[in-house]
Amino acid sequence: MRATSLPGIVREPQIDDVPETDQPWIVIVWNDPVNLMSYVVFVFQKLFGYSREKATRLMMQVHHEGRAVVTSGARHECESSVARLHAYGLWATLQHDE
Amino acid sequence: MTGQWWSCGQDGRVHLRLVADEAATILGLMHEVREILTGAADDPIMQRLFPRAYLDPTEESAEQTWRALAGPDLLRERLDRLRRLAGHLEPVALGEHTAPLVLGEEAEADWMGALNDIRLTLGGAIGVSDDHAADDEPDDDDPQGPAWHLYHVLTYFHGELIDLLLDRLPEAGSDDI
Repeated sequence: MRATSLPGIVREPQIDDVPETDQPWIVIVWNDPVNLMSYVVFVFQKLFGYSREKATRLMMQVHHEGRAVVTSGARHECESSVARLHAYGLWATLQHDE
Repeated sequence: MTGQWWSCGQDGRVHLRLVADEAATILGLMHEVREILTGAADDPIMQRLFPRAYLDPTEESAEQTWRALAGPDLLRERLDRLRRLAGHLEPVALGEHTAPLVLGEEAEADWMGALNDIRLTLGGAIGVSDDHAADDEPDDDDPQGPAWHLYHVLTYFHGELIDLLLDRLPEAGSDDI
């Protein structure tokens, strides 16, 4: 998350600032009939450090709505998350934030 | 917590009790997964194990770059964990090792991923889908009956391990999405 400047304080641009135009990317996990619900909860907790409550809520969204946004960030971060989800056998994709 | 196969030992580690036939069956399934992984890239099960990262057709270049970088590592990871698990299971299948297997952290992750690959592979072969649900009982004369039964047993087997590992994860987390 970008730090916001306090009003009246000029913040000097830093060399490693994320460009304003860099759209956030989102990672979507899709439902499939093989993966156990408990497995999906485990993967969400293990990979993203989510609470049981949040991991379960996201899993239920995948189960009932067919998909859920599970994380967001820069493109390379989301590509990495997708690869790790695929290693667990989940079906995940990334796209620009909706 | 003790299930039919998986339990937590007094040492806090996961223990796995398998008889020789069970170990042999799992080894056979792991061999089938290995055959798929080293076979044709356009096999439907391969496409499920290595799906696209980008659905947007305008991101095809990014998709190919990502596949070229991530694909070989993912394939290697899948093959390596099958190989490691086979090393543990072969003595059990041969009747040479009868004590429970004791899992380290790497073995826990290996089992979690490999069992899911096995269920995806077997599920793909017998046509598990939202229409043909896994809890439908096959007809008595269904030639795929034994495969469905095996799929059910594997589901219990995997489910038991998942529940045990979930029990050890904290309830709280860092919910920052």
